[in-house]
Amino acid sequence: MEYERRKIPVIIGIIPLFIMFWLGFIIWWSLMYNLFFEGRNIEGLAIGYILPSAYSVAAYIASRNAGRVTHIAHFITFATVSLAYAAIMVSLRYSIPAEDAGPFVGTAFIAAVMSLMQYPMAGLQDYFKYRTPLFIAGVIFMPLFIYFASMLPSIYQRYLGLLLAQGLDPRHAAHEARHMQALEVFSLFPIGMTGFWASAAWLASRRTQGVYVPGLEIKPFMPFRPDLILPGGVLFVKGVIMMGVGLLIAIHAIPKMPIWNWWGFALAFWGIITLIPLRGMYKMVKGRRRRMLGDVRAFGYRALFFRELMLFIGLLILLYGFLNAFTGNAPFTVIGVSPEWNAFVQNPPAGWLGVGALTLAFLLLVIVRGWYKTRLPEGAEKTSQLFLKQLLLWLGTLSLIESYVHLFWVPAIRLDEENPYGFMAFFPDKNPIGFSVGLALFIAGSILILVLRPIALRNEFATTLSVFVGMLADAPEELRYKIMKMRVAALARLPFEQRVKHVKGMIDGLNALPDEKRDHVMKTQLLVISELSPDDRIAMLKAMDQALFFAT
Amino acid sequence: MLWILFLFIVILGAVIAVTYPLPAGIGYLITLAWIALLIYIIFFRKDEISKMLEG
Repeated sequence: MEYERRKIPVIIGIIPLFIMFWLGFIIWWSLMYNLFFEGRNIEGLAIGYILPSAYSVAAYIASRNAGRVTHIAHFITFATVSLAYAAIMVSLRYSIPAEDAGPFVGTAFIAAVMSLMQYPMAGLQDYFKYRTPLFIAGVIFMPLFIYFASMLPSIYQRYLGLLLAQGLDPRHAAHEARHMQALEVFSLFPIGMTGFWASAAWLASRRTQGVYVPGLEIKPFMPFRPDLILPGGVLFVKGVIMMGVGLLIAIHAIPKMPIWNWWGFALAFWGIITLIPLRGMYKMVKGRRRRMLGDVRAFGYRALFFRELMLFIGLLILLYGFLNAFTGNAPFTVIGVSPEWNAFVQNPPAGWLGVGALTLAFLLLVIVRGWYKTRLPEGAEKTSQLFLKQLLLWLGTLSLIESYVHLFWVPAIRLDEENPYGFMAFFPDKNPIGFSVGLALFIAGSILILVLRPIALRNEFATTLSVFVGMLADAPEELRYKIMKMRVAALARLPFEQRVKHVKGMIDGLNALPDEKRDHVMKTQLLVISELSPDDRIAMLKAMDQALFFAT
Repeated sequence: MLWILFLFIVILGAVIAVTYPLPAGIGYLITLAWIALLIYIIFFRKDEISKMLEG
């Protein structure tokens, strides 16, 4: 098969795509903001869902049809829907409701991610083989948070404006507006969260990952394959956001819902970048690739310690950013800075509880989880082991959220919010709707982390093994022999069950290759196996037998 | 080619410093420095395997 190679540098080709996404997101946000501000909630909700839904459907239909133009049908759909939204804005005489650069910076960040992950780096001909429709749909639903970024503050501003016009003092008006906003968004918020949740949930499907396609390597044996990183990362990040925001809603003694600040998102974004692409690439390049080639230093606790430290620091940034975003504050200006948002000023025991929870989170996420991972056979973990790994992650994250609630003395635990304890507590009798909605979001987020993420991680690893075989097939013969020798030697040292799983993954990768490439790999593989010691050769042949003839 | 990531971080840092009220912008700049460190470790710091593969 003749593969189409890219003709223009990625950095040049990606710019028009970035501009399209950026402008589209600004229009999307502005239109929804104006509609919600005017109380046209159903229209706002529809505008929120139409864009990512149409885009996903277009990608799915295009993937079933051959032809280059159909392979960019989803991009064309995005531009068309955005233009239609712009036309609606003009006809209704709406303007862009930005008060500062925050919305432009925040949408630019997300547009950069969108364009990078969906740009056809290895050409259009096989586009849907390496960017599957399910992956594309998962990616385009990530910016659905823009729905919250428009709906939450606009409804608050609508009530605030009315109350100020009635002559209420600003502090009292703000307090009342938050209550009125909460009552209106108690249904709108979970409806948006349903799409937010589902678009993460389907990433656990095996169909999210594509097959090997050449032309995606940014360095030798380092492919740009977000489908091998993103599903587990998105399930985790969305799970954390839903747990955090759910808990923040559930612990109020009076009905209260989040608002929004774009600068908070602009900071949280770097937490997401740390947790998903950077930690994912670190896992691939500094961990998995080295372990697959038998580099013993990649198996130890030290190697895992830094990875888990990345997780911890990424979470610190993410949670601080979203706490600011959902409480309507600009980071580093109010939360933790002003005495009103500092537990050590307001209620020192709550501050110390926060420090204790923070320490516990560090122990669970970095020390215990890092150690536990060294005991696991990568790629052959039992379901119970995978679950325990996620449970440690969930517990550590929960502890971190709890530490933020106390350390930053969030409004829900203050006396003036009718919490008599000054600590995190639940009030299902005083605030049943807030408690129910918050609890539902918390449980939904927990399901993403505890149930669906292990499935996604398993799929990611299986595809990583098969993509590795594809890269071997396309490597120069000398390098292929060298890598294969290291790979087989590493396999021979693995425990039997783990070796079988790895070999099974490699056979799947081989079967997905065209005949000619498969022959290249098979030839090198036979040569390398023939050079093994008799014991290692028998071990490898047994594993191949098992992988070929028995279900593993 | 990957060096462009650093350029991006520097430009972004400048944009943040201009658009965001200082000294709070320092918090952002520290965050960006953390990201730059990670990019260096992941893409530029070579271990035995990457030395072998990339020469």
